[in-house]
Amino acid sequence: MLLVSLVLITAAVALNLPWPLESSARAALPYLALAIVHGHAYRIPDAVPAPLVLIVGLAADIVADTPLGFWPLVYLGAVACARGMRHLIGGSAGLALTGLAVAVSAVTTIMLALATTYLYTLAMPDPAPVIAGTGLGAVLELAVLGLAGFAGRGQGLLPAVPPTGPR
Amino acid sequence: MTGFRHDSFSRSHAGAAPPPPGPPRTRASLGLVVSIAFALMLLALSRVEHQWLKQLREEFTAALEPALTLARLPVEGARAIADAPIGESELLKQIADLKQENTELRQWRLRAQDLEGQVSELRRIVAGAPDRQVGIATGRIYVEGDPTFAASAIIDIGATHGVKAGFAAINGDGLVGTIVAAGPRSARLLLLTDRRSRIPVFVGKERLRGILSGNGAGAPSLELVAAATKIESGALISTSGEDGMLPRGVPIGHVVAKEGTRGVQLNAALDRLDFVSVLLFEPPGADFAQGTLGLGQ
Repeated sequence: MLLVSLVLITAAVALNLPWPLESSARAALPYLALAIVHGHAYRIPDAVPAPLVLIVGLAADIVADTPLGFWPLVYLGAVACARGMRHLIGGSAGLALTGLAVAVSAVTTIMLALATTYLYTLAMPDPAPVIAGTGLGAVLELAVLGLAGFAGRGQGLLPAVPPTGPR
Repeated sequence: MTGFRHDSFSRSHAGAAPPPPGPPRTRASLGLVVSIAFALMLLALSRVEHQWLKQLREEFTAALEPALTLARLPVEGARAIADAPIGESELLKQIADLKQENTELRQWRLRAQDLEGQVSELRRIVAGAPDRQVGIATGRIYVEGDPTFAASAIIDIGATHGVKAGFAAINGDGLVGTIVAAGPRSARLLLLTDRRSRIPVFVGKERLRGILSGNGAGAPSLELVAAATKIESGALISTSGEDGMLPRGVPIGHVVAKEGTRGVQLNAALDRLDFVSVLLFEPPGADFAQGTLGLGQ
């Protein structure tokens, strides 16, 4: 749990820092953090309690200088999607990827709605970083989940997912 | 598909304990709902710019400053690598550019010396008061805002260095923004491109009055007070100081007129800011307001 907390906070802080990249590439980085949070919440839900996600989101808010509560809400949305996915579809890789796409789409919609409500104008971000970030995030998440599963046959980096969904 | 499904995702542990039923899951769901409600409350308080939340944020940011500075070390390393010259040809090109720039600057120096003489002569004639001395405090940016919400940054100097809300921040190229909040050791800088940024400016040699408005995009828009006035592309833009907060004459950029639209090309590259200097310029009316009217005491 401590390791997971460190990983999530480090990811949220590091991926929101002002790296010397093109602005569209930099805008994609927070989506990687989103995928990391989602992947961990899907794989090991017990190690990713909601208060931890709240703290991780607040750390991201302070580093990204976004309104307090924005990233916690987005991350908590991703966690809710991950838990729902896990409950509904169990653990198939193909379905997990589909679920991630659904989750990230839902969370992106939440982000747009929040930003628009907050600014009183339609906040339409450049689609390129969203697509790039989502795609990279999906690959990263699948890689992490897959590695954990293959390495793990019980004693890997992360424990395998027990089937909790309806059969 | 069967093989794909039969992978690590669908495997369960041999002998792994089944998930605990009932209460823990309910507790987890309750925790999620409470956390979402708390995040929504924070977001609502942020929207109304609640004073308590603003103070809390400033204190958090100040407290986390050492950690954030430490976290920026790899960013600085990456930036140094990105800024390093690529090869000999690149170096030669940079030297040629610098030589050309140096020649132009020499010409400008002669022109400035000439103008300086004229200004001092005019001052003697009108017996005018000398310009107010403006101090400078230089700091480094360690947090940059998410441009979706705010084009802002946090710098590592604050009230202990004399920085106050309303002061202008510049870099080597010109104005970059204004300070909107100052904590003891850090300050929040609102960049010119932010939607809330409004700077009164002079445009061109005719000193046409206008307002430079941020719009969340890379180039702010320019609105002239006399709407029908025509201005040429390339006209220089500088602060007019008519808001009583900013010093007059700080360069900002130039007009870019294209296909009937009028944009502004900023001198400063706001997406690659590192160090900025804050002009410690007290508005001319501040001492009057404090001393004579007793305000601000």
